[in-house]
Amino acid sequence: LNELSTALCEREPIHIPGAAQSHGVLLALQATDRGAQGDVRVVAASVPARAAGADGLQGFLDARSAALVSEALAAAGARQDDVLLGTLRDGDGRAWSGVLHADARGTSLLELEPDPPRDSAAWPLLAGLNRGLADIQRQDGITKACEATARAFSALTGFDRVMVYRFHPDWTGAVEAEIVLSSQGEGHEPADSYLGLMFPASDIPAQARALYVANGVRLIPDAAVAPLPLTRFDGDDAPIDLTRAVLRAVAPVHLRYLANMGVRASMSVAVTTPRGALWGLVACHHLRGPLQVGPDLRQAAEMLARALSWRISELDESRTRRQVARMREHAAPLLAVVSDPLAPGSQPALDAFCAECKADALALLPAAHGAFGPVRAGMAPGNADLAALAAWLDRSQPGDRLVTDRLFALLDTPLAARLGKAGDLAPAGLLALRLAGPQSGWLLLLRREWRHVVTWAGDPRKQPEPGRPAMAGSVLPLSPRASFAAWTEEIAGRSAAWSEADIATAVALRDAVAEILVRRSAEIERNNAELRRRNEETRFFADAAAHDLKEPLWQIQVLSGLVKEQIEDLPRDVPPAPEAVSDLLEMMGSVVGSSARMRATIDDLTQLAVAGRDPERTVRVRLRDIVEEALDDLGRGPRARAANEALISLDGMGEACVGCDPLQIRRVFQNLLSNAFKYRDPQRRLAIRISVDGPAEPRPGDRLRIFVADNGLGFDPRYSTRLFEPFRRFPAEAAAGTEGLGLGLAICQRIVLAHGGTIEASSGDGEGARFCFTLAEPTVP
Amino acid sequence: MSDATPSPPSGSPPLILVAEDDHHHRFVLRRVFAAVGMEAELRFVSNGRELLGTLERCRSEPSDANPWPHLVLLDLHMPGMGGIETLEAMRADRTLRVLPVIVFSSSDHPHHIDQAYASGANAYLVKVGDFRELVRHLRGLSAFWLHAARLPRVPGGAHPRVPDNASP
Repeated sequence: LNELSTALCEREPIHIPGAAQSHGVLLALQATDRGAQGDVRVVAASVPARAAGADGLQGFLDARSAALVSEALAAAGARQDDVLLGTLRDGDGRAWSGVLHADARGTSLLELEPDPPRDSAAWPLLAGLNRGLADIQRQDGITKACEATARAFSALTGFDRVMVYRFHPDWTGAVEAEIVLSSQGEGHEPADSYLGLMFPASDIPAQARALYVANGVRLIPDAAVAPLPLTRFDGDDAPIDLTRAVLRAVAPVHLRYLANMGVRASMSVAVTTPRGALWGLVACHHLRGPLQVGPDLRQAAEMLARALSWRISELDESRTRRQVARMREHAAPLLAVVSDPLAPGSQPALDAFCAECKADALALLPAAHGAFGPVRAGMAPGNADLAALAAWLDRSQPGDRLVTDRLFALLDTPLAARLGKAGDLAPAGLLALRLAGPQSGWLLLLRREWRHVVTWAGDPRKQPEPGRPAMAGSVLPLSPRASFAAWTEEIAGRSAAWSEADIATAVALRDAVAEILVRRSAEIERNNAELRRRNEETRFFADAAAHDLKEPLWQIQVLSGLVKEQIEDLPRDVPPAPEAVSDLLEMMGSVVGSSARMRATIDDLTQLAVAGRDPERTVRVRLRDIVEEALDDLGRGPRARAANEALISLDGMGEACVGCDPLQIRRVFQNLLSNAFKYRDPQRRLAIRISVDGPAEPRPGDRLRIFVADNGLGFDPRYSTRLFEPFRRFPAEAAAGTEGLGLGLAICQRIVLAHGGTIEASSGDGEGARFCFTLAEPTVP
Repeated sequence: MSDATPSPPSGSPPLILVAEDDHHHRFVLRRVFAAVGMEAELRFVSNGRELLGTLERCRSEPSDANPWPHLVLLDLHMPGMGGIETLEAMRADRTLRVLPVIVFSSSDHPHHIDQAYASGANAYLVKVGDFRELVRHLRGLSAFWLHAARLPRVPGGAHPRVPDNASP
């Protein structure tokens, strides 16, 4: 095939060719809505009808075959998989093998193939199995699937009574579905119904349940005949293990029970979960007489039981999946509550979640110092009661969860009394999940007591009669004890049991909450560290600011006091001695100086306070202009420089422009330049170089690096970061002969940071200080 | 003993080593001490490290140029090695452990006061702004520490000079 024809092939609608292969016959059928059951219209056929214009099945098949097809069509409904119909005959009496199936639109196709099956025992078995498996598979509920299984068993085996029995978590059990044949033949009453009856756990004891897991089928074809003893020929006395033997003899006591019930033959088939746990039994009773079920039928029965088990687990899983998915929907607002318990509209989310888990109340109880307070929903007991319950869980539960439907049986007396006082709110069912690690708190789902009536098959409290042991593992277990009379009991002190889906839902919520908690505690840890750092910084800053203001103030106060005293002591009648006056003047000079320093500190503090703010207006400015203005402010304008006092080079600046708040950046240059003047090396002429480094063809937003370098005293490189901390003072070695750097560099740093840049300082041996900061190319013209 | 006005000590006046970085401050202290009439000699160092270095010199090369001080007056807030750090270093030293240290600070914050005593200060004096009160405090300081109190021996072994009007 070349590519073109391949492509054509791929597009050819081969599923609707409009023709059928000629070795068989294809009929398209539709059930008519003319009312009568089994009324079928033939809408298409690959052979002509016997009578022109007739659209009934009779136009193609003999009467018996047509009836069989109508019946199958009615029973199978819209089934898409094959229904085996066995041998059908056309109007000419020719035998065909018939298969029925439906297309997606509900049209059924009847296909007749040559070579009809020989009339073997396998054919009805296969057909029954085929029908039963499909029936079980299409059921959308567990009880419905049980009913389908009972139907299939009944049809396949012909037992008078077929029951599907389901174990509860405590190994009591109940009949979920039952088929009782109504016509038992002459002289026989229909069998009693056990549907809905409960059986105590002791009816099918542990060793009997274990036998069902090992050997899934137990058959007693005739309970009325005596067993034959096993005779050993090798002289060994050891018993032979008959666990897996079909012919294993039945305990006499059980044979008597069966006789009491009027049961002649019975068969039980285990229903186990995919994980190998015993889920239930399909139990069959025959009353009319013995009933032999051959190995082929037993195999078929086992297949049906397995199909039921698969269907149940599918239904369970999808129910759990659906519930967890719905929980996720409800969980989003719920988790928002955990993140912010004061979030508005949280109550509906909590209530919806409660409803999803079929719980009456929900409580999230974080540990005492948790990230959020208790969160409650539904009819929860009071916070104090919940806290007591959480404390009890912490004490008594080593694991990460407790799941119970009878909480009060576990509680110690004081706690039981305390919770019992909650009356209607007293929780009988508890699903508790630890939030994260030990002592992290609990997620609690609570269920109230569910008082309900169960109907036992006989009174389960009645002990077996003396000398009659409870049912042995080797007997058919599903037989009520001596009395089969229904006996009702009210169950109290328990809640409805928690299902796997409920637990999975709660676990999903717990996991989500735990994740938030872990994230939150890491966040809190980070915040605390940051807070401690800031506190330390603030304390240092306040100390330093107070000191720098108090010291000059103290000098002013003390000197003023001294001056005042001395003036008071001056003689009034003669002019003061010149030494006394010069002494007073010296002190007043000091007062003026201190006042000026105090004023400067206050100015610096004011500057620092505003320096952190966002730049007020960002405009495009030429850096060189700003530097010239700053030099003017410092009295180092062009005229001063012409006086040869310092060598200030702006040659490396070019025409670079930046986008900035010009006043603030001017302040940066003022501070950097005044430091350069202040910390000049007295041994040499001061030289300051201001330069700019950036891309050759800068685009808006590009970063420029601006350097201010001097040949002054420099500083100890160890202090290159601490230089920018407000009030940080340095030993004389670090900045020789200085009074400390005060706030100037801290102000520079805040301004540059507010402009989105960074600033750093470096100094090497005898190199002076070099400051470098970044600013962006203007984005505005 | 009389504590109204300290009598002039015999010989050279007692020496107070003052750790104070601010030269304006030094000027004020000199003037105030003079006004109080304290005939103590004030010797200034800029910070803690310089103080320790000076004391080390006084110990290793005792001479008239390096006399052992009677008292140390310590500011808490100094560049480089601060007051508390200096105190702790002194109290960790066998010789300097006994030297009386008076913290003289502008802070009256309880935290600073506690910290100073915890680090081994002998007294904590706030730099009060009221001139008369300050004079009273300094006179008291002088009367007690330079006249009334008996001070430990200097490293060489001799007792420091005893004020001539002190009771034996």
